[in-house]
Amino acid sequence: MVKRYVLVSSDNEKFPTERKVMEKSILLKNMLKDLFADDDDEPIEIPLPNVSSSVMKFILEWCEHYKDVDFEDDEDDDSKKSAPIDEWDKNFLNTDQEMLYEIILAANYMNIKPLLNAGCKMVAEMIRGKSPEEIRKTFNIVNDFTPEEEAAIRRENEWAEDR
Amino acid sequence: MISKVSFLDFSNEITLQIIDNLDVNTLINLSYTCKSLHQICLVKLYSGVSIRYDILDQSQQPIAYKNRYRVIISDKQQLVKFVTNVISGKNDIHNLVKELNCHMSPYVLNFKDQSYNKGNINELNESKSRSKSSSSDDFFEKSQFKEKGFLKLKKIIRRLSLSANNGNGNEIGNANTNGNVNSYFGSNNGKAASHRRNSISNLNDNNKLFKRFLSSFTQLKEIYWKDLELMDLSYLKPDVLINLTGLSLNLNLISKSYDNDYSKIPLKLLGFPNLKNLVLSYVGLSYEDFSFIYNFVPLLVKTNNGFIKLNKLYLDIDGYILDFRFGDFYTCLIRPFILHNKSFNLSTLQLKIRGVKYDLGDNSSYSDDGDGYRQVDGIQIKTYQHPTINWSEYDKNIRIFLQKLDQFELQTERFYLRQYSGVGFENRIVALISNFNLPNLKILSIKASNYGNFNYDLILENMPNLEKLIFKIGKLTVLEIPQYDSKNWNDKIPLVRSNKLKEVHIDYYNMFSRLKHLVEFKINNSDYFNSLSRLEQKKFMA
Repeated sequence: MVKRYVLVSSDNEKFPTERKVMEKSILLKNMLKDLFADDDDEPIEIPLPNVSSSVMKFILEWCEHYKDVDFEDDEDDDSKKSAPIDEWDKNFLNTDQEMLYEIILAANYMNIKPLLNAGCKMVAEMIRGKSPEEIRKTFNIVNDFTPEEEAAIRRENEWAEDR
Repeated sequence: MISKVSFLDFSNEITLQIIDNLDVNTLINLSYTCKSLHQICLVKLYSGVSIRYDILDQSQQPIAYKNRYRVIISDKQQLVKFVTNVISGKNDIHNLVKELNCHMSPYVLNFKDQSYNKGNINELNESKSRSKSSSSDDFFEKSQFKEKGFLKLKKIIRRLSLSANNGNGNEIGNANTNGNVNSYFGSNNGKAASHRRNSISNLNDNNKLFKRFLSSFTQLKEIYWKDLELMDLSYLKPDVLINLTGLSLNLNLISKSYDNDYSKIPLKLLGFPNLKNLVLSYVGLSYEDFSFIYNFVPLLVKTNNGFIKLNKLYLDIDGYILDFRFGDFYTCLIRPFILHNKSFNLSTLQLKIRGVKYDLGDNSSYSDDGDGYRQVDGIQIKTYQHPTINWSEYDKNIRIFLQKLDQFELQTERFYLRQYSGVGFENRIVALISNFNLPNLKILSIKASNYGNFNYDLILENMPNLEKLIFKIGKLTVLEIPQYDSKNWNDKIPLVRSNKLKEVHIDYYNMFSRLKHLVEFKINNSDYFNSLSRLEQKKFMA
């Protein structure tokens, strides 16, 4: 009998899931290993109180897509960090800003590093090449510098700017 | 339902990961958007740069390492503030150190001021470990630098290195420096090498940052950067080059930077009209690298009109070089100065020649076909044409070169003479220094791996104002017993007859006799010593 795994979102929606898919999340992988015995036939429900159902759908779609890909532990691999974002990921994450942020937070919480990296790269793409004012507008950031403070930090950074 | 998450709600780790993907310009723009992002961006902006500042007091004695201090910066915020202040020309390092709660530590433990001896330093260090905030206060209270109006910062960057930008900023405040005096000339040790390995990765982005960082300095006076990966003076603004008074050039790094082709070096980068202190060092293993020096040094000297303001010259060669001859040394490293500067004001000359192999010894076959090639043990080596030394010209010019010297130091290590050669490299240099009248010479230091043919009487005669004499003669490879046996005190007595001579160190190790025969003595009061009878003097030294 095949064991059943069910992920429960913060709004109590249930997502029956394959183990292989779930294990893209290091959080879930460790949980399964540590908390649930193999000889237990009962269906396993895992609550994820930090992930809403709408975000869970995205996360599971991503995990499903990559379920057969073995991501090496590339945390320290600078070349992979600096590699451009994968085209499929780019299309997948081409959603509204808030959903993108939610996905990043969920990937961080569920410890899905490749997804987190892809999300961060997407946000970086949104920032790249923009002026401070454009960045503020894009991300709805309030400028809390006084003019004097702004002048001071511009002086601080002067050394690093192209002149 | 989607909650309203903002970019600003991300944890610092996530934000850092996002900005890890940004170029420097965008990073700076992001830092201007709001205070919280500014703080995070700074971490990234400075995380690839390790800095160590050495600070001079007003006496400006970088070479002697006197009164030299190191500011130790322990976190990024300090670093940001320190760099900003220094760049903006804030000279009052005393207040800056207090304000930023940095450490300031003595670079060298030897102080001229006897009241501030090693014991005080230890005490100071203890007080530092007890209390960070009071350490700099204690330091300034105990030292006399406060009264001296301490520290007109002239901004020496001794080592400003790029590190692997791993985003965690571990390099900050942890610059890899061996922190001792020897590092000035001997920094090519394991630590430095290890640091270089760490520094290689991710250079492209950091290099740009580094270039901008360097280019922001407008008041640099002295630069010493032996361990830097990329030796590109184009990073500095032209007026900085003009105003430099002290410069250390690692010729080996230069040769690598320019693919061993000196003609690729932009000539405009070679103008240092106000240079007073020059360190030329070469650390390398290949003959080909060294051949670069044959061409580059004369070009450097010529471009600078012989460095007319040069006061101190340090030549430091460490490498395994086949068939390096005194003629080569003179021609490529000394003669260019003589040719282009007829009114030399050199006060200090230091020659350090280490690991140079003169040739392969008795078992080697050696031939010089006179056509730019030499055969050493069957290997044909391309050499570089240089004029044969005209000894009459040499005699005349070398006097001008040396006449105003007040300090001369020769140090050789792992240096093998060609045993059948009549006059070896060291003997030539010792003869050079001891056979000319050097009325200004106060300090003479010879630390040689071989016996030099010293004539003490000549030294006294030609150097009437000598105050300090140091001989350290180490590994002996010559086949003759030195003419002045250290057992024979009478031979040394003339040394201490001089009224001016205050300090003598003789460290002599006679390997030939198979006896460890070490003699070391120090005379601090020659007047007292001279008043003694010969017998008493013998007793005194025994």
